[in-house]
Amino acid sequence: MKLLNKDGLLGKLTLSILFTAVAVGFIASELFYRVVYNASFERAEVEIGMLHETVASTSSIAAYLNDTELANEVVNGLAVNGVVLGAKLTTKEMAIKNTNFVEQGDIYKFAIKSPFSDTEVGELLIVSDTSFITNRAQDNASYNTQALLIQALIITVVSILNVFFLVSKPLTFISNQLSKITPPSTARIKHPAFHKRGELGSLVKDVNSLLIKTESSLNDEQKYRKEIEILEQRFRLVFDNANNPIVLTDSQGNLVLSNNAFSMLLEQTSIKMQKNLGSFLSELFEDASNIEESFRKQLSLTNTASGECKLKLNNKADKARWYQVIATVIRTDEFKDYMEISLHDISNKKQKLEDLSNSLEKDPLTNALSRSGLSAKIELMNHVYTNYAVIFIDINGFKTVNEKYGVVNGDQLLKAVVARCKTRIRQDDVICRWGSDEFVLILAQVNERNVDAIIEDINRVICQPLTLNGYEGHLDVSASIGVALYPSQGDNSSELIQMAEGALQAIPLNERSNTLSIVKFAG
Amino acid sequence: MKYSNLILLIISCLLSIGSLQAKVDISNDPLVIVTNSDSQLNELTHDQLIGIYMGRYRSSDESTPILPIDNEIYIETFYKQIINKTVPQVNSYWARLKFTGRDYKRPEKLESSEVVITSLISSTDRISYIPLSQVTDDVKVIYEITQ
Repeated sequence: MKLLNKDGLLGKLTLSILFTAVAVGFIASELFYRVVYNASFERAEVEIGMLHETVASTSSIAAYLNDTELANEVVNGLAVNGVVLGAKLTTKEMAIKNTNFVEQGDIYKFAIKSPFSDTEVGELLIVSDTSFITNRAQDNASYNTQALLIQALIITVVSILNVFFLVSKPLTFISNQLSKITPPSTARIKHPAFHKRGELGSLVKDVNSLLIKTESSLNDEQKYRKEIEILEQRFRLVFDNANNPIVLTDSQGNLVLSNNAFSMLLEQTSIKMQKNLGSFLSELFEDASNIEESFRKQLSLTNTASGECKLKLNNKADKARWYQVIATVIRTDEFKDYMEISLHDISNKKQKLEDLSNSLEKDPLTNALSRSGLSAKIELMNHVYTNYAVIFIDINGFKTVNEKYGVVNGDQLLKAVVARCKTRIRQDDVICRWGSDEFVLILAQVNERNVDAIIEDINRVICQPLTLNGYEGHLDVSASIGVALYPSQGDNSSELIQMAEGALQAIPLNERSNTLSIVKFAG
Repeated sequence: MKYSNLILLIISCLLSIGSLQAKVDISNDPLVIVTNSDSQLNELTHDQLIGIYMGRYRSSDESTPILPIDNEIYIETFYKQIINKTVPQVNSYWARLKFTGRDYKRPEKLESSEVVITSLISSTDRISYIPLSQVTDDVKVIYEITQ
């Protein structure tokens, strides 16, 4: 440890005390010199007055008698004094002075009276020794200055020692201990000797209490961190070992997180793991642009979107792989959006549906599903879809067409209606010939919101004019339609079909005979 | 000045009558300075008298030297009256002058007025003091000491 460091407490204190001591000493000695100088001159005046008193009677006799010997005695006796430079005794008849006498500087003039009367018999001139007086003042002042300097030195040294032993050393003691402590540690600072109380004592106390707080809060934090780590490990275990591929992307579609199942899925495709696999992982699937559009539409209404997508396989000969893709927007506390995308393998279900629809009985005329195959198909759809619509269609005036234009043209009308409907339904949707001129459509993923638009669309295609064989002009086609929705209006398939039929029956017959199609909803 | 001094003197004299018998005697019979009746000296001032008796006028300095003589009977009164000093003070004064190396001569001291008159008769350059009542024809008064 350095005792005198310019930036340390001691150094600063030393500098300031030294500076103050020197400045005050300088001013004080300057002031003192002036006072002493003036005092010295005043003292000289008094001294000369007293000297005159001493020699007054002798000088009086000398002047009275005009005695040069006595006058010399007076003059030389005066000059012995340091304060007197020279003296001169004059009478009418003589002028006695000593060798140093010069008539300049401070001259003190005393009249000499006769020893026997008040008559003046002469004059005594005393010249003060200005340089002697000045020197005397300077000597006094310099003694004083020296005394002040010594005092300043002693005070400085004592102050430095005091500060060193009372402040610097204990502070260094504390700081050395503190620098060795790395929280969280159980180590505490010891009190410096003789500083159990007072400012340093309370400093140590405060530092120790701070150390205790730091230790406990750091320990708590470590504990929490461990708990979080364990929790995270568990979550990761669940996430990584999940059977379904799960990924987390940011709002731009960049992959943030993906599990092992996802990596395994990628291996089956020709696509390599990369940072961005398109929005909603669309690059993995066929018909990517449609998927993206569909998901965006759904997400604009709600924060979850789903769709069935066909995987782009490495080997085209492999069996088709279908996944239900569910994308959920996750908003963090910091208002940052992430997308959680989970993939569920629905290939088996798809296959079953396909197999089933292949095995079901078909109506030989229209190639629509026969009435017996419908209920099985509906049961299947109950498992796969969360909602669908049952649409009951009756062709208006079919009997009249049969009678008027022949059965061949009647059959053609039926075929045309089925063909037209097929252009508007999707692969999983079902069309069934229920009666001679009655059809039932099962449309997957149709609900209250979109049912109107879909029915209008279907109605529009059915109602296109039809050209008949052997007749000129064309036949205006119209149909009556009833609807029932799963699951909002019922969860039993035969019930739903009845409800849809009931809705259709409720339309008055006169309205049905019109060429205009009348659509009536069930419920 | 002289009138006022005179008036003061008269007042003091009137006040002291009866109470100071000795002084009355002196004022009635004052000391006078006398010399040989043949001497050329006819008058003296007070300062000259002091100068002669206190050594200021020395025989060597003057063309006609004057030798002062002390009358032992009246010496006390004389010095008291002319310089307001006691005889020991006067002795001290002469003692101091003794060591200056110069030739100061203290007035010769004679034991009585008769001896003084005899001495004055023998020379014309001597002066001394006697009470006015003892003045003879052989001497003349050249100064009367007033208070």
